[in-house]
Amino acid sequence: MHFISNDIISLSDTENQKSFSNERYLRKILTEKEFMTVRQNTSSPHLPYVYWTCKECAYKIAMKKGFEKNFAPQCYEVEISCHEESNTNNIFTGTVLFNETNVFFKTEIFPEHISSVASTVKKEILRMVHFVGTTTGTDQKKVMRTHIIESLSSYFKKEESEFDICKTENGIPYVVIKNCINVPDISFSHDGDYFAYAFSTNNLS
Amino acid sequence: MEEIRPQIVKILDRYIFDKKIWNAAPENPNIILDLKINSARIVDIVIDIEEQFGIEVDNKTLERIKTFNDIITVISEKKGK
Repeated sequence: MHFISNDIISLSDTENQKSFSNERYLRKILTEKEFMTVRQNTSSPHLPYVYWTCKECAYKIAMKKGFEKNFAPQCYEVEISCHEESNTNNIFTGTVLFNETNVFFKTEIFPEHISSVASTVKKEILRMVHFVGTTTGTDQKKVMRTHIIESLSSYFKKEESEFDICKTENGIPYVVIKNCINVPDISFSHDGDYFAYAFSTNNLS
Repeated sequence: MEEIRPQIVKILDRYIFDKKIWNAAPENPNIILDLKINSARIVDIVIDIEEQFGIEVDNKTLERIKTFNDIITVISEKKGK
């Protein structure tokens, strides 16, 4: 089965700003090689966040593959293969290696947030549906759930009432669709006012 | 190691947005799933624990920390108690 995942991090969150500018924190989440890359690329101040979201994406996929331990970011090695930067885009792509599994990622940097998607299959990065939104207040999860069901319904041309979003006891989200056995893989993330989700676009059956 | 429980609560509390969550949490809450602590803050928590208790948490140990009691176990082991 192909797995997908996503992660989002708010750049305006003060706790994030404090953590990601703390060398001790960075030494805990980055491998030695990644730490040196951050040190050598002072013109890319968002690099630690890029590494973090990729590793989180890889961890989410690890959990879907049955990994039950907690997230230890240094165990996930990020290899950036491409960085495209223009007036409109700032995108990193590459792979994350953990437990002999390679996961492909794409990370986009925006003024106020950084968003990553990942998959065990490279072409899924382009094929998956991915959305980033904002909402404030305590109903963020409800808004996100409503949004993803609307999106699934629209994409797969089924009634919204045929979809349900559930979670395993480990907190991994999955979609249930009436009369369907093969369902898309889904992923959620939220940080601060931001929420984001992704789902694979394989055919339902 | 009962004396360290309130110290761990104090550390975790710094990263909990809605303090009322303790009321609904089970006896041995999962740090992310039950206490709703942002995963990025787990590393901050580990750093705070290292500083508070004078221990070092390596990656293998970090992988074991999912619940409140896991933190107690790790501290107990590291302090040799």
